[in-house]
Amino acid sequence: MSKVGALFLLLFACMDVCVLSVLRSLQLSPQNSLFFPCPPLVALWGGELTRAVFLLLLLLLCANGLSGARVFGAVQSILVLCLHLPTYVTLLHALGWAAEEEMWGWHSWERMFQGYLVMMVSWIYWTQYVQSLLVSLSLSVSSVWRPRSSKQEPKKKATSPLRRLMSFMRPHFGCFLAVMLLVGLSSFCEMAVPMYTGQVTEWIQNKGTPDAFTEAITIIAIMTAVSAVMEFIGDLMYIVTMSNVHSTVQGDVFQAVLKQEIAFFDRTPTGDLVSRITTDTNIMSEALSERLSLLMWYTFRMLFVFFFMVKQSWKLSLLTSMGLPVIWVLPKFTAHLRERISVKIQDALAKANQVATETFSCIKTVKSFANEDGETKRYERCMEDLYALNKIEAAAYAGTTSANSMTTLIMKVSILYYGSMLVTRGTVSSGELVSFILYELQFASALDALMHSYPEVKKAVGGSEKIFEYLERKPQIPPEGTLAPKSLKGYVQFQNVKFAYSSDIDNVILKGVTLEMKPGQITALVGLNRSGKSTCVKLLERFYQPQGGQILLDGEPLDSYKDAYLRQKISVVSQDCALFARSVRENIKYGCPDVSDEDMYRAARLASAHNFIMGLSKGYDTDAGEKGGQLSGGQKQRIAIARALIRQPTILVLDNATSDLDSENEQQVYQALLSERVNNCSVLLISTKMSVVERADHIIVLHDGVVEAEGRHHQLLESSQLYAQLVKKEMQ
Amino acid sequence: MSSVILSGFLLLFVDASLTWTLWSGLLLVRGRGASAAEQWAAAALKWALLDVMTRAVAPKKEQVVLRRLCALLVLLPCLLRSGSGLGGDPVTAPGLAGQLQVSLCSALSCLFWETAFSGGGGFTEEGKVALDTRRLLARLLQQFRPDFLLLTAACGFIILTVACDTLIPLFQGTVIDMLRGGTLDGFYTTLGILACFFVGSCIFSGLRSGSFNITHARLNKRLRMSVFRTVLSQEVLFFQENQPASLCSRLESDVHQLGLTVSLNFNAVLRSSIKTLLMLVAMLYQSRPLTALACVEIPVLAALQRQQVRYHKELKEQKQDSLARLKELSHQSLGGIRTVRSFHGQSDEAQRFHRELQRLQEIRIRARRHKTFFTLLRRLGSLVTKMVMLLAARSLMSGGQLSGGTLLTFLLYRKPMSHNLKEIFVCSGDTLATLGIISKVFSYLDRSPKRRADGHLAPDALRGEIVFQNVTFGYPSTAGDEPALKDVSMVLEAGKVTALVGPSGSGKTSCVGLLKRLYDPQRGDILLDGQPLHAYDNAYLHRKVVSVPQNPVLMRGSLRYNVEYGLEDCDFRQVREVATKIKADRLLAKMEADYDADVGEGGAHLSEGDKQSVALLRALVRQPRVLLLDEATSQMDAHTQHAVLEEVVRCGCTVLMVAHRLRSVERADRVIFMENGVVMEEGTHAQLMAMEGRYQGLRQELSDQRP
Repeated sequence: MSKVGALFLLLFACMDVCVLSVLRSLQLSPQNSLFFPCPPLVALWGGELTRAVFLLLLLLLCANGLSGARVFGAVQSILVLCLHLPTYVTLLHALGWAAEEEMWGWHSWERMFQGYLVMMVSWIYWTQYVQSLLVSLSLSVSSVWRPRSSKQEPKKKATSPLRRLMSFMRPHFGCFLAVMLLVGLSSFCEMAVPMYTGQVTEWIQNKGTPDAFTEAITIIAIMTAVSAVMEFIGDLMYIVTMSNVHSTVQGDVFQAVLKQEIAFFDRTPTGDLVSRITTDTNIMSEALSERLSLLMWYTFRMLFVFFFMVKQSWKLSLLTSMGLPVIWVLPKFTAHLRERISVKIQDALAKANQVATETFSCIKTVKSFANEDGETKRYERCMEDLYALNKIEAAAYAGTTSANSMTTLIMKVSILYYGSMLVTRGTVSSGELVSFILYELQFASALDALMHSYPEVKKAVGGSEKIFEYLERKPQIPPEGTLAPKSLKGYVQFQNVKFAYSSDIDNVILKGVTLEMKPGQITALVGLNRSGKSTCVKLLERFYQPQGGQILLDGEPLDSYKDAYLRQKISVVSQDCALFARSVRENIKYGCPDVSDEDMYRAARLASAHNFIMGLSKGYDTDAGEKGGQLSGGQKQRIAIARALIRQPTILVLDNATSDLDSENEQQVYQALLSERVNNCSVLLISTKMSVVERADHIIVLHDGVVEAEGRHHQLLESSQLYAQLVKKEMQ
Repeated sequence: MSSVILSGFLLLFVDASLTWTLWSGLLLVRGRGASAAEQWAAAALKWALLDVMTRAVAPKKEQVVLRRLCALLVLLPCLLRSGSGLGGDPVTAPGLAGQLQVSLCSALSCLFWETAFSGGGGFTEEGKVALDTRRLLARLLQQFRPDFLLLTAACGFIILTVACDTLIPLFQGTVIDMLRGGTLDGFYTTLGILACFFVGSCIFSGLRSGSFNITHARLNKRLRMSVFRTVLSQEVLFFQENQPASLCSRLESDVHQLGLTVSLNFNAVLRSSIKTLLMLVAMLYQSRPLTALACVEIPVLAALQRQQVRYHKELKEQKQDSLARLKELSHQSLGGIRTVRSFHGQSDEAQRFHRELQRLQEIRIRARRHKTFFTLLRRLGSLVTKMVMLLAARSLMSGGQLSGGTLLTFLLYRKPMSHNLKEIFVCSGDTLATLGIISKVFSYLDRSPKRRADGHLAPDALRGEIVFQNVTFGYPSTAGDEPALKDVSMVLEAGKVTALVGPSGSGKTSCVGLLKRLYDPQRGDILLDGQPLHAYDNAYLHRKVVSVPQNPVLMRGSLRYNVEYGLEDCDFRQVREVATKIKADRLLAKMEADYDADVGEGGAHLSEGDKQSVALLRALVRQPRVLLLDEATSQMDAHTQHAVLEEVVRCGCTVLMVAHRLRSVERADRVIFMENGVVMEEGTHAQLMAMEGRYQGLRQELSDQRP
């Protein structure tokens, strides 16, 4: 496509050159008066219009394959190319200024190239700035017209990360303003110093009075000192605000992730999330706090230099400032490029992180299958990916650095060149020009620094767009209910509940389960593996939403209860009891840190954990995680049971909670739990051991996602074949 | 410290008097200025004398520093004079000013060297630390060896860039002069040359940063790989002392920091040093006394920098630690999200996270505050030197020793020069401040696993007899407590099923851990076929001795990945065979439908029972000789449990079955009853029942409870 485009451009250029040559030979030929009997201005208009007509005809011939927007662009460019000179000349003519040279030399080679240049510049202006400006203008106008149009919604969603970040900075607006003021003053002082150094040198050259020297030197000293102190204060304020912003962002991301639904965690690896929350935010904020201040600093510098430039010569300054938007296209482009690469790099890094974390946390498995090499290979693959991206980034960085410096140097050289032209023509005095150029050079180097910093900032922010994705992600959980009744009976009903983890239909776990748990009773769920027992518990915990049917608690839908209330009333001891790497005390008191130690001891005794905990070297302060005291599986389970009991729940769910306990302890636990039940709570019991189950008041047999039978132990032995089989198998 | 300064002064004084004597001697003999050769000879003589004196006077520790000073004192004037002697004018005797100048220069440069680079020069109490620093840096540089070519290229680019950058002002000046003068002859040529240099500078600087970035990436990759490898080879206890997420943070952010600091700073220091050197030469040509004054800035900056490094190093380490903790914290709460959610611990977790964030923020602010404070000091210091220099210049000018034009050029050079100096100091200081991190990374690399080295035994046939000989083992983290295993001796006969029973916490799982070589016993030996376990090749051992743990851990990935974990030659037929045998029908159906289905993190998409089935499959598919079942069927329903037991009894390998439920062990050939880390009773089920000991008692208790 681009090749064809280039071909078209070439074709147009050839056509243009031909038309112009013909016109030139016509106007300059001796028979001039024959073809152009009119004044030169009219001839100019006529010639340019002819040129435009030819080009448009050519466009008409080739246009059938092009989209409307492109044709529009082409027509626009042609019109600009052909009509800018006549308009300009007419303007000059109208003002009464001399424009003879333009009028007679409009078709010279020089003018032609100038025309192309103008066309390109105006094209850049149009595509990069004017268009987007018009779009936003029309949007705002239309939003004024139709304030409630629904079409604007998707637009709003695509807020750029930078803008999102700005919203975090808004509360500190005052601080930023103060910092800017300080930086401004400081850089002003610094910019003024060379002026006085100039005075000193002048004094040196002219052998002036010693007084002037001392004065200048004092001023320099004061200025520099003031500038340094201002910078210091500004920096301090800046640091504090920036790290405030950093902490806020990081904390918010963490909370936002914590709020997501469980299915989100099923999908996203933990290592990946952790990497996003810690590494990405750190990279972003650190880059920001370094670069943003640089950006501010250089912007001010540029402004001051520009101020001095305008004072020297406004015409030349105008020329420079016209060039700026054109130059600015490059950093915009490179920023975009680097942003894209850095997103990829961040992804690769997160993946490598994930692999490493998983390997380190599953080290026992890795070691017991002697798969160190396999894991190393996996990690190496990640590293290779990262390295490949890094190489691209390095190349892009090198390329963009060169290109950035190149544009500023083009600016410098062209100013020098243009200046020399002006001097030869005598329009500008050489002294004026020199001082202008000196400022111009400073301006260019400030611009250079700016052009380096801007892509960095963009990259830092853009690379972390995942963070903002998480921040904006709405958890797919129905809104929290408001119910929190004083007393809860604990009557649970499942009404024709249907559920599948994934959307595919083959994998339905619960196929219409209807069951009830009466308050104060022990209800047991039994069944083969994957019959849906644990899924029922997860639904009761509101980890997932049932796809069909509903779950009622005391006659009200489960969703209408307040989250904190529900967690207080329903306690679950799950199969894989996860303890945190904290002290036993913190683990038992998890989620209710205000409970007294007495209550904790009572809960631990009920779970028959108190004795072994007291036997540990540090008692309740022993680390329960992997790090410390080597708790055995059974001990961990007993701590998990104590954790559930401490909040004195109305409904206690034991999901295979004693699988790692030995028979003696298991019997103890059940004895304590089931006979001395705290405030007579309802218990939902899931176990693979029939000896445990048979003491329940009500037993429900689940098979393949449906309730097969229910009743008491002896009833089921007769009525349910599956139940009898399960009991028989265990007796063997 | 003060004694060094004293001896230094003494040395300076002696040098001055010696120089004067020698010169007067020469003058007496020859009656006129000396030739270059004579001068060098005199210098050599002087050096010998001074050296002898230093050795005699100074204590050994200080000699190094003083001898450096000697060399400078002697060589500097010679070099300077030979330089000016090249012009052809005869060498004259140095005046008092000249002598002072030389002494000042050498003393200052010595001071500079000692304070800035050599880290105390080995005579302070930090001597050892300083030595360590140098060793660390040297090791770090060694890490760059594979990138030697790339680095050389990068250095080349640096030199080219610097050359272009130094030439640009020259031509710029010419162009501006031409404009000022209004003569435009050859203007466009000069402009063209200038543009060429501009382009060169751009391209070379791009190439330079590109090649440094690539070096950084390569270093990162290499270091990460080797750290990963060494960490992975550590013993299991290491991972219990270091949380996985914080290890990961070390791997990621520390290594990155290290690479970044080194490659970026290396780049900057090199560039600035070259520039500074060039400028120093130019400045020396302009005016020597002013250069000496300008150099006063150097030791001031160096001293400041040293102070800053001291603070900064500590803070940097603290920051990395805090980052690691933050990572660990988020890993914990996000990994255990179900627990967090089900106990409504979100706000608690958020608070914890927030507290750690607060701490990190404090550290960060403190670090930056120091940095800005030192920047302020540095700027003020440099201002003072500038003032002093200007004043001195004024007095020099009024004395007629300095022309206005020279001062102007000098001033023009001074600014970039001090900028470069600043860069050198900041960057090298930054590198020094990263030393803490560097040494941490290296400490991981250097750590040798605290376990016995693996042997190479890999016999074709393995009977699978295991003997525990007086094994005592305790977890080091619970050093105060009783050991988990106390003098355990037992035999697992080849091809038989042995059951290990006992209440929870009696040391059964520790036995399995030892057999898997996750730990090494503190005393005693475990023999496999008469050879100690550690004599076997690691991979071989873990193929032959396979375990199914209490709570099987699955890796994120497909079913295939988990079943064939660590195996390269495994086809689905074998897997199917085994699966049919243990009656894992549902799982088999699932596998046949989609063997590559994702199991989720830690097997979250599978039920607990299925997870155990996968773990069992994973073990059996290796066709082991020794099978360790640690409560391997606790989550399975009775139906599957039964089938597994049948298969295990039938498979003919040595089986160690750990159970705390006594009923399931009746079929074992031999039962070992453990309590509190000691073997209490052993024999067949019938024998133990007949013994009427603890086993029988527990058994009885259990059946009494059954209605």
